[in-house]
Amino acid sequence: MPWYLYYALKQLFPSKKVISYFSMISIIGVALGVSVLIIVQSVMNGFGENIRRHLAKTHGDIIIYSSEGLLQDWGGLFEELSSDKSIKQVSPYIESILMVQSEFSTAFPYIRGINVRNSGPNDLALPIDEFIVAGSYESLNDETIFLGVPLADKLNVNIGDSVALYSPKLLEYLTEEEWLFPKEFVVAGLLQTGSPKVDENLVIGSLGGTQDLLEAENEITGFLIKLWNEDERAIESTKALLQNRMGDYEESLLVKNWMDMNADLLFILEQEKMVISFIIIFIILVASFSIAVALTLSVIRKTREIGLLNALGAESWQIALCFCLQGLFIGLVGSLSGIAFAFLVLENRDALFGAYLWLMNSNDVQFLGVYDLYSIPVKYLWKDFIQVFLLSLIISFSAALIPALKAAKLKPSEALRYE
Amino acid sequence: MSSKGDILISGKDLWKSFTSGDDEVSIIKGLDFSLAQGESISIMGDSGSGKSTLLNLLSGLDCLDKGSLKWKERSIDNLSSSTLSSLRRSFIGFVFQSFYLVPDLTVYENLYLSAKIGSKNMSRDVIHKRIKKYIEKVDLKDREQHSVTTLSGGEKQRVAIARALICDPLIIFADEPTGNLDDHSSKEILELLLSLVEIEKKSLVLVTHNSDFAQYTNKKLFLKNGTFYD
Repeated sequence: MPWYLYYALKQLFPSKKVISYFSMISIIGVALGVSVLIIVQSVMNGFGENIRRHLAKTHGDIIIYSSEGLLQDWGGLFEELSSDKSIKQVSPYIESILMVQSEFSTAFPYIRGINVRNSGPNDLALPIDEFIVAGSYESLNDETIFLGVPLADKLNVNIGDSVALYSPKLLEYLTEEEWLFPKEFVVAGLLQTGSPKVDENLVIGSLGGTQDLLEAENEITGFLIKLWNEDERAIESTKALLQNRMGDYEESLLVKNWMDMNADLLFILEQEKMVISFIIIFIILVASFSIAVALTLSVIRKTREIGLLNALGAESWQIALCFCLQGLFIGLVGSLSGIAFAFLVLENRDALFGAYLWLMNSNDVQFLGVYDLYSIPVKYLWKDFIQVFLLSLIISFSAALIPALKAAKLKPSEALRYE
Repeated sequence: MSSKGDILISGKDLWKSFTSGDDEVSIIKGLDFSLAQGESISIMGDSGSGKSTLLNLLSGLDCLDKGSLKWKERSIDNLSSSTLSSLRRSFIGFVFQSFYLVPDLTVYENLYLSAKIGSKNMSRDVIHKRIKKYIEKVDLKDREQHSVTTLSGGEKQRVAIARALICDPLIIFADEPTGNLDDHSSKEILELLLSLVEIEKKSLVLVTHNSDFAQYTNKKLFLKNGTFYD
């Protein structure tokens, strides 16, 4: 072991002591900065992942639709998509805005008609079964519909109640003073996707029933597609392949994945994470300032010692390296302790959060349940850990540079005379 | 290794001054100096006469304003601080008045650090053996693993003497090594230093106030107002 490494270690962990006081303060500073950064990033990742998973679940992996309205002869395309080996499920659907009227209220949600005739709940590109909170999938037919829970609350209806559905065409006829009766549907189930915005505007019907309502005969809006590989990169590449094939099939066909359909929200999530990480970097900078202060004080305290090292034959760069290594060790131990502390906090987050709520005398946590959030979500990303770790090491090493250079510049004779 | 009588340090017309406010104060004024292999020289003088400054110049810890200084026929006037440091490792050992031991380390570790700095090629085993040897020579065997902060002044200076010798330098510079010790300890330390220097065949430059101690060296130099006088 070179002497400067030995000396640096002895400065941090002197004999007869576990650790020096200055080192301990600096290590705690770095550890706190690193742990806060990792906790925030992991929770942000958790929230982001939860929302992404939720979005993928409610939108399907890929959606194909026409830019020129409804698709008419879609049987061939359906067969072609169904035979694709990367595609797990293809669900034709029809979608439109409509007016729903109950005895008590009126709403203007979207209806989505899905093919239930020959499909079980597991054959659909959307996991309807998972969304049902009352009723059963089997009760959905051409005479019944499912409503989102907030929409049902707004209309003040429950399972078994009837509601009147007005399609846009029907509303058009009404404005032309023709009197037509709306279609009556029975509420057979209630849905909760977890996304309040979606649930407030959600009506699910059978494909046939919805086509009848919209006077669309055998037309559909497009296909919801579920892939075998749900990885985002796989979805992107399959989307690109399908886009090429759809271009050959019919130019008006558009292929989008769930990321495209929620690009704004995902962009905001990514930006939010980046901005929060950026702000938290300042915590590490504050911690690194404590390293700089500790090492500067150490240089001042040890001025005569530095003079002695020089007299013994130590070279300036070795003395500088000594202090840089101390910064690096503080960064290393601080970062590892910070990561360990972050793990400890994250793995016990529910208990800690409960204790926090108890201390704040607040049990009313609004976000729980929304977007499937029933506890604080966490997702560990190695990339984040490595980035934080390296960043912390670089900052700690840099913080030690100024005191190190100051130490290296000291003239031995002056350093030995220093009082 | 130089044969006995070789000149280890030769300085000609050495000048050094310091700035104090707007004034420039000359401390060393055109001194000549030489030290041969195995020779011991004591430098005496009043406080502020420039003894320590001269010692710093001769050991390369400070640079000359004017004059020339050679270590074993090699001029050190224009050497970089890095080269000077690496030459100093094998050439000079120091014993200071204030000991300058590293307080966070034990007796053994202080010697180990010095050996690691001073000798790049010494193996851990050789270092260990040398440390043991010098700890025994300075009679600190039972204090080996003690923190140096727990030692008495005399014991600290023993560690400093062992440290000065551990890398087998040609010259020992001792800057008032008994300045912080009582009479009894001073005598003991000086006797130890002189005996080790003689046994190990080292040259010695001893800066001291005490004319009795100076009697033990081959040559006595008196410094006054930056020059030697008889």
